[in-house]
Amino acid sequence: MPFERSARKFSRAKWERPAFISDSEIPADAITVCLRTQDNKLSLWDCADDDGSVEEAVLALATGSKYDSLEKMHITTLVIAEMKSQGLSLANTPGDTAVEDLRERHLEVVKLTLNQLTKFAELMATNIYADDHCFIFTRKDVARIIKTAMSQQRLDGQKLNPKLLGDLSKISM
Amino acid sequence: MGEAMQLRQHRQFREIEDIGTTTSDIMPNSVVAEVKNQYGLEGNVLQFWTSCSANTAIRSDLPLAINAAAQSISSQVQNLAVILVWSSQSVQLRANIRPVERTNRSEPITLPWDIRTQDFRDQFYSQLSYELELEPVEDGISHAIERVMQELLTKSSLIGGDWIKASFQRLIEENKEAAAAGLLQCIGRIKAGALKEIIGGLVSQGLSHSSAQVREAAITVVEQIGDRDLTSLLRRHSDSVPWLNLYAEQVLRDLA
Repeated sequence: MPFERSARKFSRAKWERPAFISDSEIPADAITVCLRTQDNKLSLWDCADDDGSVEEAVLALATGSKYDSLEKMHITTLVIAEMKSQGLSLANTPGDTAVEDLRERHLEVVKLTLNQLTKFAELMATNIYADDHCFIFTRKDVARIIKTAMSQQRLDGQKLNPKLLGDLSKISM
Repeated sequence: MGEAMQLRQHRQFREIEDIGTTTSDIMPNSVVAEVKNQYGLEGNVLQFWTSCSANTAIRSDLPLAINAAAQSISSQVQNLAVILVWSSQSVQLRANIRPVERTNRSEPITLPWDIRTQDFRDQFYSQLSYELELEPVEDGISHAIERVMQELLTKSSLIGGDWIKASFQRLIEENKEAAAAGLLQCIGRIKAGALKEIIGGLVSQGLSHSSAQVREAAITVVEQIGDRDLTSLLRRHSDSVPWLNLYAEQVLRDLA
């Protein structure tokens, strides 16, 4: 069954509006820092509308090759149909994660233009400013999620960044 | 044993004389001039050490004065070894009249940059701000400034800690909040023992800052380091932004 939502890791503080930004506006830093594109793409992870599924997205992200410091993670999930109705193009691509069975859950918003990026940002803003479908996973939450996957043999610890492994070893659950 | 006595016991400093005392942040030119005139010296400083006994009260701003003084003198005096000693009330600049040989002194401070031509503390700050502007700090992903800070702390834990603290203050003063938040977050990541003395002050300042990203970074430092003092700082914090308040509560729960 296809997933109805997709998860995006974000920097929530970048979306906080300073006093000079009105309630109808999005801070520029949210776009230029939090929604920084590469090859006109943004990365997302498929998920369902339940906590367990969002944790799967966290697992995929936290076991990516770039993730090397055990740290909190902000996640928001967007409705895929709404993205499509805004004219955003989505494409499934193999994800950067050490968890094999999650690799296929990766998708990208592709062929992004400034207008489309704005639409994507507005979808995120709707969630963020209503505090709807926004999740904070603390450092310990992330550790628990990774360790659970390791104990379930879904994840080979040797594939993780050594620094991340070191951080994990210091966290008692 | 007094500081002066400790210093005089080092063979290479037998001829040290106190040449000036000031409580200002920057050594006055008159002190530099006095050294130059008294000893007829010209040129650059070869080395300098800082020295303080473990129980000496250290004014937090003095390292800035030390750097400024060393740089000021470096452009005017040759073959001069300078020691800067500080107490809670004063800064004393002591200098010898002969070139200093490397000794067995336990912690000679090797300055990371050429003090003859650069304002090295400013250079460190510039490097940090440049890296932070080039690549904003992202949760979970290492940042280049972690390596920069670690290298500095390896060269001198005392000066390194003070420069890092000064850099944070300067970013705040210059309203570079995103960079200040990034720096604070990375300070939490490197978990250097040398930063133990300053981390409480930085977290406290971060938690009371008007910018949500600086406050979030401060909470993240508490989460990373999680010692009792930092936890109590966070326990006393109540945030006006609901999600930050929730994050702080979750961190306290995790650290309990």
